[in-house]
Amino acid sequence: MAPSNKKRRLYYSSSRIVGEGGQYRDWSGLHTDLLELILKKLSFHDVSRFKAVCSSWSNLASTSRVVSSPWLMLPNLGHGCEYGSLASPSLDNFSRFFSLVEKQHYKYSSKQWFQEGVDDDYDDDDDSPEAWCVGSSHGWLVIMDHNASPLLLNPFSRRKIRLPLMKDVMLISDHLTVRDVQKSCISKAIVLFSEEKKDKNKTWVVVIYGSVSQKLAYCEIGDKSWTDLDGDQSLSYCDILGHNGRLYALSSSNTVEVWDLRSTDCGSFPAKVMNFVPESALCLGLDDGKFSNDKYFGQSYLVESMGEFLLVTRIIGYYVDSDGELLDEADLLTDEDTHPLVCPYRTVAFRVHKMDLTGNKWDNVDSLGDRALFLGGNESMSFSGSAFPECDRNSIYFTDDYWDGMNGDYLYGGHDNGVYSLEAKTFKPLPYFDLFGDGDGKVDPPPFWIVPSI
Amino acid sequence: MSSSSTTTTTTRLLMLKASDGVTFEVEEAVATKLGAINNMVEEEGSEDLICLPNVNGKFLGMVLEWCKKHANNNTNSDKGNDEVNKWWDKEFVMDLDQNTLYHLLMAADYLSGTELVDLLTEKVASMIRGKKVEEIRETFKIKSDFLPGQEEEIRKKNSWAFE
Repeated sequence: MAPSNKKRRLYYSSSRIVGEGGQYRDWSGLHTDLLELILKKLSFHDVSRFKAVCSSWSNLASTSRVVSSPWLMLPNLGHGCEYGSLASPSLDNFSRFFSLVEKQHYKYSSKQWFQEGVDDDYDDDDDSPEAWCVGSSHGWLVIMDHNASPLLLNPFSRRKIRLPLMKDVMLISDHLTVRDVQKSCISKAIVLFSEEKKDKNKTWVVVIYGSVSQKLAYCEIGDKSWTDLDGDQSLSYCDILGHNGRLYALSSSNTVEVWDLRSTDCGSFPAKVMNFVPESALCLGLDDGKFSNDKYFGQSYLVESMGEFLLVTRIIGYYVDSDGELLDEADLLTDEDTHPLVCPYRTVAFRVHKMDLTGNKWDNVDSLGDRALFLGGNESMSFSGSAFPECDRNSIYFTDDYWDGMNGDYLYGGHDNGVYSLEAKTFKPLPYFDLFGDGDGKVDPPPFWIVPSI
Repeated sequence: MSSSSTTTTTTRLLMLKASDGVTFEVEEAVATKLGAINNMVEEEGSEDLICLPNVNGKFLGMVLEWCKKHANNNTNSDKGNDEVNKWWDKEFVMDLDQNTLYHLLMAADYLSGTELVDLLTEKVASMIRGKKVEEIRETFKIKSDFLPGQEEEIRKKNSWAFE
């Protein structure tokens, strides 16, 4: 920069005269760059109120990208938390949100979500099963409504977008109830954007579906139908992830197929741009006796973190007692007592690997460094612990998404939530989770991570 | 750093002149905590008098007071410096009323005192956190300038935040 420029900096802009009589401009006229600095220090909740102060603050906050750490969506108190509650899991239960940064929970009247809005056909019939959440991604929930027809819902802005019906599924499911279809049709759903932060953004929804989660389908917002992707149907899919307009699909064999959805621009089918098939099987290092493989199973997640693709394996014991010991099913019945012990499934360990493209393998990762991962029914996410001090670094925040086991017992299900520290290799409950009486019992519907956005 | 300072250990003094004519004599090491002053010193090393027509004496004085504390604390090799600075920063912003805060923030921004701007914007944020819209307006003496219906629209869209 030339000296003259710098000198000018000190003289230029009469609006920046400080402390001159009559030149006082109030806070509503504060310079945008300063307001933005302030905005960055505020929580999502405070920003929402900041918007209602005056028009200049409102305009600024509406155009700035406010990034928040995840919130936890929880069932309403008095619903679903009781043992053996007859109340069907309902979207009405999804009406509390817990903000990690503010350590506060917010209540919503979620029935309103359906009662207002343009395309509303909600009939408020107590007999019809209520909505069921199958995904959470970029502030949107993917919901199967009371007719098992899918829609996107932003619980904060209350925007709703109808998605095409899953026709194939409806056809084969004549003998199933709506509830069954809601829960079994889509095993995971995400929202994917052509480019981050661009106005001219294409938006797709991608789902894993099928009887054994063997299929992938997508639709662009506004499409009338879903389109299947040419995935390897001999595999079942564990997780899907969107990144820079690409879809990454992790299979149960730890392969990753990648499609570029932006290549649909000319009406063509999305191009499969990569197929990562690791040469050797993943070594989970669980062969130390404690983990005999009839006592546990692994659930896998794909996470993008600092430009790396991580494969996170969550090891869940089928029956785990309060000391964290893995039991056999036979251990649950003792000679003296004919009632089986209540030892629900529980996460007992995590393993992290990263994709090694050149070596064509998954490399073991011991530490996540500064990062905190958020896993569950949501699209997997990674946050920086220094940018978001409310998140413990080198930790995994997880919610229960063991859909198959969740409905197996009325005493538990949705309970397997917590924070795992990779460094200490220990678990702790989700922060302030016990405050809401959710404790160890059934949490129905299970909690979801959601990053609030308007 | 100016080229003439290599032979002597005594710190060079700068004269800073505010819009109302008030002048401050400050050590270079203190004044150069402000990005704008630092740039001028680097480019026009021979000038000892710097005129700052956009900031008046009261707020320039406060900004320099902050710089001085931080410059002094940083020259001590004591490990507790961060703690001292934090404590002193807390004291510095504690009793600022919104009017002073506003002008101080403008002055710090104008003089490119990045650290001080950060401290002051944090103070502003702390005055917004957890407050209702009406309380924020009251705190900062802001009048709502929304068109009729506009504010209701915003509140409706974010209704959960107002419950």
